[in-house]
Amino acid sequence: MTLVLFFGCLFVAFSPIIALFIFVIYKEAKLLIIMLAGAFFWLLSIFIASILWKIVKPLQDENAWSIAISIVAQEGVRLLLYKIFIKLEANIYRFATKQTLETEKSYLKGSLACGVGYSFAYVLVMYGSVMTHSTGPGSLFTSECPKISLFIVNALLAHNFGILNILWTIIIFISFKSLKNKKENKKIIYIFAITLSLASHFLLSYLTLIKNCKVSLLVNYLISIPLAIIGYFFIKKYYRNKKDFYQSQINETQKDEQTIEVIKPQENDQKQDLTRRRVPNDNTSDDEPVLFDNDIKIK
Amino acid sequence: MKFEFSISLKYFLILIIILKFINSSHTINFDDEIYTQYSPFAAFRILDKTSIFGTTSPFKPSSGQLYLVETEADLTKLLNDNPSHTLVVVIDTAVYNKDNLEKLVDKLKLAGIIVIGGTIPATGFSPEKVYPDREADMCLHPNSDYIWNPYGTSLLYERFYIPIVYLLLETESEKMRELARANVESDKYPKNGADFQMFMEASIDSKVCLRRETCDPIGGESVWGFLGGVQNQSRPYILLQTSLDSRSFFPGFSPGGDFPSSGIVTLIAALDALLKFAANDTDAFYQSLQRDIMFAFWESESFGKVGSRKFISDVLSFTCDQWTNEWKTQCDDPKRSSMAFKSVNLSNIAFIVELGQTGLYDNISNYAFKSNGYLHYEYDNPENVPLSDSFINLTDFSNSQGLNISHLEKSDPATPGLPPSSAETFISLLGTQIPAILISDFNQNYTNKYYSSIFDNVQNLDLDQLQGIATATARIAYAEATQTLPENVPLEIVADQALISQLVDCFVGTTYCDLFQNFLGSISGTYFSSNYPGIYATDTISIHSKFIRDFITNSTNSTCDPNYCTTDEDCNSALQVCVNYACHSITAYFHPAYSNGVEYDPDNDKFNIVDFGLDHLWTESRWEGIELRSFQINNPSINAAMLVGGILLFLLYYFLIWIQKKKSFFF
Repeated sequence: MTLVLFFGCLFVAFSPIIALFIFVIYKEAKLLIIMLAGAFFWLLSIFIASILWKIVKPLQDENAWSIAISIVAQEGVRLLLYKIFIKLEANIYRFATKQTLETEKSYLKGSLACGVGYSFAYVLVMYGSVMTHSTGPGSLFTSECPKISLFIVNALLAHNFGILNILWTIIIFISFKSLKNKKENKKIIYIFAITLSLASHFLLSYLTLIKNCKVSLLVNYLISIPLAIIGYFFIKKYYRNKKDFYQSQINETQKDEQTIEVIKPQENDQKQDLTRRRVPNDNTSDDEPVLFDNDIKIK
Repeated sequence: MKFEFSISLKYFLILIIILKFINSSHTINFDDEIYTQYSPFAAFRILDKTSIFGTTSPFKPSSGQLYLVETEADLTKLLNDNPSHTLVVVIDTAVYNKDNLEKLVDKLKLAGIIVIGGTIPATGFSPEKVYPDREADMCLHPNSDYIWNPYGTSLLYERFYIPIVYLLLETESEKMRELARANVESDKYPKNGADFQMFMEASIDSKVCLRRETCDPIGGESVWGFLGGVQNQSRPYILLQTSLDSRSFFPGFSPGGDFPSSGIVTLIAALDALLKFAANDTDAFYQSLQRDIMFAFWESESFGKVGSRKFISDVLSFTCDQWTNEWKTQCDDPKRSSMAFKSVNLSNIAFIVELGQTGLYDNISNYAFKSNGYLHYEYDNPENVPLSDSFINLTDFSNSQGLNISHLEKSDPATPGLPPSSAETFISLLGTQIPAILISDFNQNYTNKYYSSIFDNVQNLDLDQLQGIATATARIAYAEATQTLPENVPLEIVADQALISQLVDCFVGTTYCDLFQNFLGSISGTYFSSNYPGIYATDTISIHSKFIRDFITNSTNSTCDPNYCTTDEDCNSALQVCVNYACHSITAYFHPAYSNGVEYDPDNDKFNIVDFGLDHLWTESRWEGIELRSFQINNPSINAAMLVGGILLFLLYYFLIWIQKKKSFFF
């Protein structure tokens, strides 16, 4: 019967990660590497947090401080991960001639892989060690939570934070990218998105300190579900905008090509030159300045 | 390249140091949080030549919900309810008996039984047979249907395929009771449960398990010697003897109050009384002896009488394959720490006085005296009658002198003769009619209601009774050894009651007693004194055996070499032993007590069977560990719901991803 609980907890805690891994990340080798990098960076963040926790004695006495330092470390390393990820993306696409919907998709997929890796390491470290003990006949109940097994509470929390970590990573990655875009005129939305991500991370983590585990779980989920829905629509909206934008780009390019053909239909070489020359100018979205720098340099 | 390597190695080392630093910080051991460990006494598996006894857990630990049975009514209710789930029955000692254990095992789905509490069943309970050792080859009355032990249930000779353990510590016992009670009082989850891990490796019988090396022979070291360490081989001697061991259903906890501790205590106290008297004028005392006085504490007598049997067979036919030294005082193969036994002439035994169960005061038949004893002997040996008469005359005379000495009587003629005892071994093996008298506290049947049980504890003993028997034994030994009349036995030969009190505390109570601490230094091992001999090991001597040898050696006015020593090997001579950090001339010897059917092979560090025909081949199973844990059990329905919910959640995520892919989302 205890293996039943073990597998139950395993599925609950890891189900979003496993599903995304099997159906998205596993399909592309690049995403696998990015995911592992994401996992490594989360470990790095907790490594830094542990050193701080060990060195600064007052942190050891108060859970609140430990949580704060751990969140700061995680978010700081997430930023570092973004910096490295953007460089990695730039290098992967440095031979690309132009910014397209595919490169945008790749960026989003990479962000997702980073999030899954980050989330996987989080759930594995924070919950995996607890979960392995659920194979025995005994269950763990605390005085604050005398009726619900700690394995179940932790599995539900791990599931919650697992999804949110994926969403936070994607949201923060696209928000930072958008903030770097000089032509982006809705920067306030992205600033708000980053702020909301950080605030929700703090808020939900501190909510786990509520002694009554039922209340803690309920409040956590009541806040997380709307947040997750908002996060999902935020990403969806972002992607749709990009998609529409590139669609219009393609339409414009097709129009231009038709125009060129009308002017000089017999001079193929010149048409190609013209088309190529127009690319940097056509890619008016300065979402990826680094990418464009590289593109220009190649030329 | 070299530089890069050294740099990276440096950082690698720093990383390791940091990791170590972090690892050394607080770690939560979830097992400690989930499980509470107990220190039970287990009814582990014991084997003889043809079968297995005791209990075992399955190879995989077994667990179940706790259920409390404190009364017969609780038991009846449980048996009527017959729950479908697996139970661990927590049974109070008040209702712990063979019938109830068998009912539980037969009718319920059990993971194990935990015996708790200190309530002693007023009706009596003995797990031994009604005639102990009747089937053994040394029994003098194998066809007798006499009942020596009226409370006998033969539980020791049952086998169970579920673990049964006893929680002795009150804190643990009460905690387990509370956990089990909580289960009975509330139907709500979480429930309290327990699991066991005590898989016994040995199976079938002793011969098979010895061959498979899954068991070890039961045994230890007997202690024997001659009073004052002197023996004139040409003259007869009196043999004062007792058993050094007992058993219970939970062998690790065999307090053995009335048996064998009362016999051990009275014999030590009697020897102490004689040695103290001898110390007044040693030369005069030993010169006055017409007969020597031999004493013997036979180990593992409850397991085929191997202590006395081994000694006799060694005296008669021991051959050493490899001597330890050129003086041939010790033997390495087979291991014998002393060869002094070869100088013992068994044909010179004048008579045997054995001290059996002597600690219970029989206040019914002879209430006029503080101490009463009964003399048991074989009726077909005519020498026993005058011998017992002389014992009775002596004690009657001593009583008239106002000494606290046992009033001795002959046992009821309805008894078949000698009760189960070590004296039977001498009579059977030596084939001669050796006079042998067993002094006990019972007349017809054992008055000890808890023979060989966990309840045979210190409460069972009466100090006046013990002092009376010890004084009687000492005075009988003196009178018979010096061949003097009762009126010439010095009044000073009286057992020391303070010593008896201390001895009882040590042999029946705790090994951490003052007397043991004084003689043996710091004691390591179990807190509770147990008389179960354990497995025989050439390099291990039980606390009881060591104490007896050291105490007698110390009490004998032997030459003391002030050389500082911690072990016998530190003393210069093989004829010296280390007692209280000083080397003393040896007056008491250890002698191995294990079955003659096996012999230790030092090259392969195992016991080989050398005689398949012997019927006294007792072994103890090996095991990895004996563990009992309590914990809380989650609701199985919730566990199942979690599994179903988890799988559904996974399918839901799969479905959502599939929809997003269909809608041409970014992945």
